[in-house]
Amino acid sequence: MPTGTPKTWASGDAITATLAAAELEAQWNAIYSPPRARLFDINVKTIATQTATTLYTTAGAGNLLDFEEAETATYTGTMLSGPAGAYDGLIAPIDGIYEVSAEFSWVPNIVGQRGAILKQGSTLIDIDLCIPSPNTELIVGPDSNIGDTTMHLSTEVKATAGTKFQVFGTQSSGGNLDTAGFYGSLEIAWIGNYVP
Amino acid sequence: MTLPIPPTYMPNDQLLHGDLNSFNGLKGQQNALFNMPRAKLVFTGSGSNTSGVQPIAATFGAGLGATQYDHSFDGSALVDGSRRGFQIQIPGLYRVQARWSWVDSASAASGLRFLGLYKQFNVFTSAGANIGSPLVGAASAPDAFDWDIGRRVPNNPCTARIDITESFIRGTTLQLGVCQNSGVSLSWVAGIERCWFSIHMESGGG
Repeated sequence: MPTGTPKTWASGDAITATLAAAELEAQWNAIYSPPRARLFDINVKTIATQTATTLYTTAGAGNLLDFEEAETATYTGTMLSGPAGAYDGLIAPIDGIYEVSAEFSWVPNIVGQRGAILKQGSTLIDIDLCIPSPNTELIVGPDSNIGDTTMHLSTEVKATAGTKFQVFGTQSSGGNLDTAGFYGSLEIAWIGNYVP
Repeated sequence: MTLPIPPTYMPNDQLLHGDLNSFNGLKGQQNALFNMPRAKLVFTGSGSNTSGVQPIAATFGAGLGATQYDHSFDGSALVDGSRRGFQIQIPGLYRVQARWSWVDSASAASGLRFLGLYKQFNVFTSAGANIGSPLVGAASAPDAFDWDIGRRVPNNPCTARIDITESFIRGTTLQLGVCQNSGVSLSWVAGIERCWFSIHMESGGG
């Protein structure tokens, strides 16, 4: 598995099929199956003005899909945080450096500002802020939701096993504002070891 | 410094433990896979850049940045000793990301916020030294390798972002440069969510 320590062969070690298979399998897994996971939210989340709120927590059947998850040969746990149908984030399965990214959209509304926050545990690791475009009515395209205001978060961080990543939305429209369905996602991908 | 090269075994070769442990052997190849070069600097101090059209200043001067990690399978370091940026030790394809944020205030409501990525060969500029042409006019880009103009959001930090994947040769140095023309001096916002600079190797070659 990616964090495994490659075997140091000693003089006289027999290169058995078992040992060779384990070492070669570790390489194979490192290349093709590093830990990675993605949450994909298909529901609308209503967020009150000036209240940072965790995304992906609305309970209900089918409101959240575990879009994809790959595991190493030796990691069999889940990277999903929270109960089924109401996941609230992703958990780093092993120590390492992770690429973390997220995106979601707000429904069209031109009042106030929009914010997106990415947290690693209680630590802020990325923030995206913007002012909604007042010209959404001028935008045309194949996507009927193209007038939405989309937030983007991405960074790479070191994390220990068990660290939780979460996305928060915040806005200052003066009232409740909905996220746009079918767009919210959070991804984590292990890219390598780190020396603590 | 190079990536391990798989050995070519001949018929009747006897595998020795030293072959498997070597840099080019199985252990060396696994180390390379698990420990590709990567590093991250975070701005943790205080600093600012003055108003007006001005030369690009190196942002990571000695003592300004904290190294979050600096790791490679061969033990080489990417982070410059004065934390001014990175120097490529192993040629290959690298993903380079950066964020830089400036405070906002009513007195700094105008102008643009510029973040540039600069590459040179075997040259690190000292903090404050010019590493590119001046930002001429409000929107022209100096000779940065990549650059971004941050979106201003009133009463919140303005952040510029860089995210590229590019091949670099050994000895290439990478640094950030910033510039703003609000009319007043603007402070940068310290923290891992606001001002940072990272690099990691995607694959070898180059």
